[in-house]
Amino acid sequence: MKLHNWWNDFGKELSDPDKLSSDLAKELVSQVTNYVVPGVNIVSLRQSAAMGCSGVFINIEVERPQDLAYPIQAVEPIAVILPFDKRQPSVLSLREDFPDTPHQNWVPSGKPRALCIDDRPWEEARLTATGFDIVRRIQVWLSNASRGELHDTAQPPEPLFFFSARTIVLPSSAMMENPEPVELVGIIHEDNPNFVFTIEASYVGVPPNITVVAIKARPQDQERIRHIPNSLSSLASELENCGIDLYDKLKTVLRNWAGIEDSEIQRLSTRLAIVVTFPLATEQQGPVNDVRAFITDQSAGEIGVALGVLHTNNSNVGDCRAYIAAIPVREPINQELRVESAQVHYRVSREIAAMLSGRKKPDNRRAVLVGAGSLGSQLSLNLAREGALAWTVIDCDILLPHNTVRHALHFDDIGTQKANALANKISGVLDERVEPICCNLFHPDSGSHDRLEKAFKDAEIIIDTSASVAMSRHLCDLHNVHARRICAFFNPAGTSAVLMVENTSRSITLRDLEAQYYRNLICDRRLIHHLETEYPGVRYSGSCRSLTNQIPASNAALLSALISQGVKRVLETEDASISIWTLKDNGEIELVNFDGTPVTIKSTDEWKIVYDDELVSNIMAVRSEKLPNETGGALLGITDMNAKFIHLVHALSQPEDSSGTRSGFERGVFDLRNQVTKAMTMTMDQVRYVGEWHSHPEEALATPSPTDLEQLNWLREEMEFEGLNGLVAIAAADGSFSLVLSSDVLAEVSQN
Amino acid sequence: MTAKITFHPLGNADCTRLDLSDGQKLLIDFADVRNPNDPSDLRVDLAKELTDDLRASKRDHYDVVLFTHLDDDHCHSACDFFWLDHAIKYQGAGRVKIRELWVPAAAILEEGSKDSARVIRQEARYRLKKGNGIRVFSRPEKLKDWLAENGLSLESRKHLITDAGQFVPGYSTDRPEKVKFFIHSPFGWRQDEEAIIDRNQDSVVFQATFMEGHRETHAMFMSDIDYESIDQIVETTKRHRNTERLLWDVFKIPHHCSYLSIGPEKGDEETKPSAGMKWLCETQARVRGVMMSTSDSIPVKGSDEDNNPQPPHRQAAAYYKRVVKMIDGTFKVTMDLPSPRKPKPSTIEITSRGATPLGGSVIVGASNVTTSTTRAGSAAK
Repeated sequence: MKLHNWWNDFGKELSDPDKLSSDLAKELVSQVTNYVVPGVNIVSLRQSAAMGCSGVFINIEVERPQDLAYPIQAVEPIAVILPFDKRQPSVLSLREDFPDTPHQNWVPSGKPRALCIDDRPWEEARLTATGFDIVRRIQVWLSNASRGELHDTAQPPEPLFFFSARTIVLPSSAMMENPEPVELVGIIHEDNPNFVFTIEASYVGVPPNITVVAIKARPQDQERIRHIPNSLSSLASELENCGIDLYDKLKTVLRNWAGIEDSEIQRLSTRLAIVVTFPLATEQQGPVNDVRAFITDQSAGEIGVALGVLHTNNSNVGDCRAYIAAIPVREPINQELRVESAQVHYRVSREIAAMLSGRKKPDNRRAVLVGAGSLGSQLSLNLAREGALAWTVIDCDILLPHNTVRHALHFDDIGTQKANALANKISGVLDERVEPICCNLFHPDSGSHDRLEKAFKDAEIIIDTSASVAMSRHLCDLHNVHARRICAFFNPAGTSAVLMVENTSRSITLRDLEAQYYRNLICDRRLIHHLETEYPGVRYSGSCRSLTNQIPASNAALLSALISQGVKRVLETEDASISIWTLKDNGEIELVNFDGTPVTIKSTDEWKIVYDDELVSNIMAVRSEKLPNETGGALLGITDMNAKFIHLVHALSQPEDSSGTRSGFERGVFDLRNQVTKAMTMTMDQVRYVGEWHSHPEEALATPSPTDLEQLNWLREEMEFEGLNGLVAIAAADGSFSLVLSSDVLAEVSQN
Repeated sequence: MTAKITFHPLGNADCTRLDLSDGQKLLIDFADVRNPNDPSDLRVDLAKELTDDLRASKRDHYDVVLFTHLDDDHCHSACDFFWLDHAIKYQGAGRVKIRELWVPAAAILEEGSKDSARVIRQEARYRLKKGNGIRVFSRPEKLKDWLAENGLSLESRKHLITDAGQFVPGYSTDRPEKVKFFIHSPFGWRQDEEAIIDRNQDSVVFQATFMEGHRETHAMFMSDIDYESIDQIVETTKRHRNTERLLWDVFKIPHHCSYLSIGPEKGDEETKPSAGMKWLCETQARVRGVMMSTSDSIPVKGSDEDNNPQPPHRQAAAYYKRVVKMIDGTFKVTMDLPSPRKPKPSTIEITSRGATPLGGSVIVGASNVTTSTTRAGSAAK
């Protein structure tokens, strides 16, 4: 096996793991060297100050079957590159001949292959990221690769090519079967030079700068291409495999375009966009296209000259910028003609109708909207149309064609910043200034910093419609911001809307409500299907994360409207609440309301542990039922590895093979795993096993007994792999309740 | 459900559990050798591991318990763990029942055994007399005298005896259990007119063939036999043109990685295999097969353990490592899995792509590997 040279060129070798600047790297190294992570060993460490990254070279044992789908070795050399600033780590195979598999990230040629071990945005993933978690994901990735299971059948096939930096928007007519290549005119949007919008060439009044030649390739086998063509010659050889003679096609087109008319001069002065549809054969889903555009550096005329079919107009007749057909055809000039690839998006031709009518209710409170997506745009416009709230809009995305199906913004905003466009629309409704802030809240640029701070400080209400758990928690934790937080989102199936609102004093926060929401999902029979999804998402381009949900516009609109009404209602109260609307198959809407319940926060040096009154009263009820015997069970909760929060969510009852007496309790195991898995499934893995609870009899205190401490030690060992500490909760008489958290130093959380 | 083979870290001692596709559980040997009073003893608490596994699947019995032979490292403390029919002393709450007990003939015939070996012998004799819940591996004639002494005819017990060269009745790869067992030993060559019963040679050696999808996966369970017995098995199998019955994807290494199961001389760096053993390891191995040594960690050269005559032997391990290198396979030691600091039971899953040793993924259990998000619309970033 030959190792990739790249590793030895990366920064400098380190012998002392303490010198690693990335904390995650340090944690990874320590977990591997202490055998916390099995099947892995450290080969070497390097660090590059220039790149701001620590590098850990590990050998990973792969769980692989005998019959390999891809040639994965029993032990794979992997470099985990961890940025100092806690950005997303990359995972590189250091094996020079590592196979071409699905789920790799694009890399420039000559660099080691990069494994895409996690589809989630990093801001979500890092909530649970530990050294162990990263290694386990690599192990799972490699194992799945060896079994040929990387390619989830719910997903469309991999694209033929890697990611393109540019994006081009085409009308669907461009891809119809045509005897001649379709000619279009491209417009580069002012906002975004990488974004090309096209219309048919016959549409007059727009000066052309790009002319499109559309080509449909023959279906071909799913043999992926590593790097996208970057010159006309490499594109031509690629297309040759698909049965297309690119040069012949271009020569024909360009010869036909020759002439001294103004339109001909103009057309040949534009750049070419060669748009190729590559049909991908898939067994499960029928044909799917990977559509790419290749935009030339040179003008059409210059390319014609290079191909020997045109020459410049040297005669005295007509415009000297014109090109004349070369007769006879000359030999092509040996010259590299560069092309730049662009991801193709189709224009959505459907209209979106606003279905709400306003009901005036003056409300001048200042609100910050975070997330100008489908829900955020509709919610804010609904409320604005009713004269409610003075808005600031924060979002970092641009509007793509597929957004417009469910978005309040329209076709003509495509390519603009959502925040700008939405602020404009709201502004138009309210006839007052609405401030847009186009930035990523997790990583605000310096220009946005002061504006953000002011917006949050002035706000009375913050409405989170970002559809991101990480964002909700981030907003919840903002320091010195007193605004009441509201969070609204759709479930993944788009059949339910959820609205969570803090109380005005903020003693019950969005984090607390999130935990209570999950408990309701686990316990309330009306919500058992809440997070189920029947359909996979839809790809709108060829990268792993380009997934949008399949939700009817009518659902999004209806749910947005329900949330709009809900927001108006809760803004009239001071209490915390959770509302969940569910659209039934028969057209009914079911509303389930929960009051937010008060919480208790216990802190250790490292962790903040939060539980609420309802959890305790549930536990006390089970305890009373089993008296005089002890009882207990597993504890489920949310762990936020980033902010070091543990929220207790739910206490499971004792498994049926448990034995409880007056002096002791031994928790059984029957069906436990199934129950934990069920709770995890119902909450899409947001909730997990965090420890154990049990009751003490009438005469005993809630302080831990020696047996309890033994259990805690056991828990600590079991959960060490997860970078977590085991929790033991003890319930005793008169509602007394204590928590013991295992960490290196046992820290008892004081009793109620 | 796919079948699984689970090995337990017991130092130089054995216990392997087979979980079949239809939910049946079979146990091969049981040696609970850990010293509960020694906190530095890293060997697994076998009784607890097995009890937890049974509880989780709501069972109180094994469908089959096979003792390949009755050396202490294969049956230690068995009399404390199992419910035995022959004496009330071995019956009581929490004891694990055995639907069918499988033993070699030696376990019936042998005199003078002690402790658990004696108790298992009594149980096997009791069941054979009773005529059910037992299977004996032997040439039937070998048991004729003993049966006669106990007033029984060979004819009446023949259906409970399986000779070498036969499949164990009642198992098929076409039925839900999706497995069959072919018996290689004990076999007639060795068992005729032996004055002293050498228990290792009267060990049960067998091939389990699993079927998953259209893929056959073969596991060779070599018990504690030595190279001479292996040579004889190879020769006999070739003579009967049954060589596919010695193919292996999983190879339970004989006798805790002793050199004597490979060849007569230990060697300095690597034990040289006898002709039969060489053929078995090098020709009959299938690509990316797994060799499992149920033993202590392999000693480092020059260490105290290296000079100890007891297995595992570094030179034997060196040979097996060379074999797995040839087939791109893996060599594993139970006491090193998943890490020598904290050994745990290790499982090989039988999939439609063959044997897959599970590493980290089984330990983590219920932790999440979700890659989608709970709120609609948050995908593109």
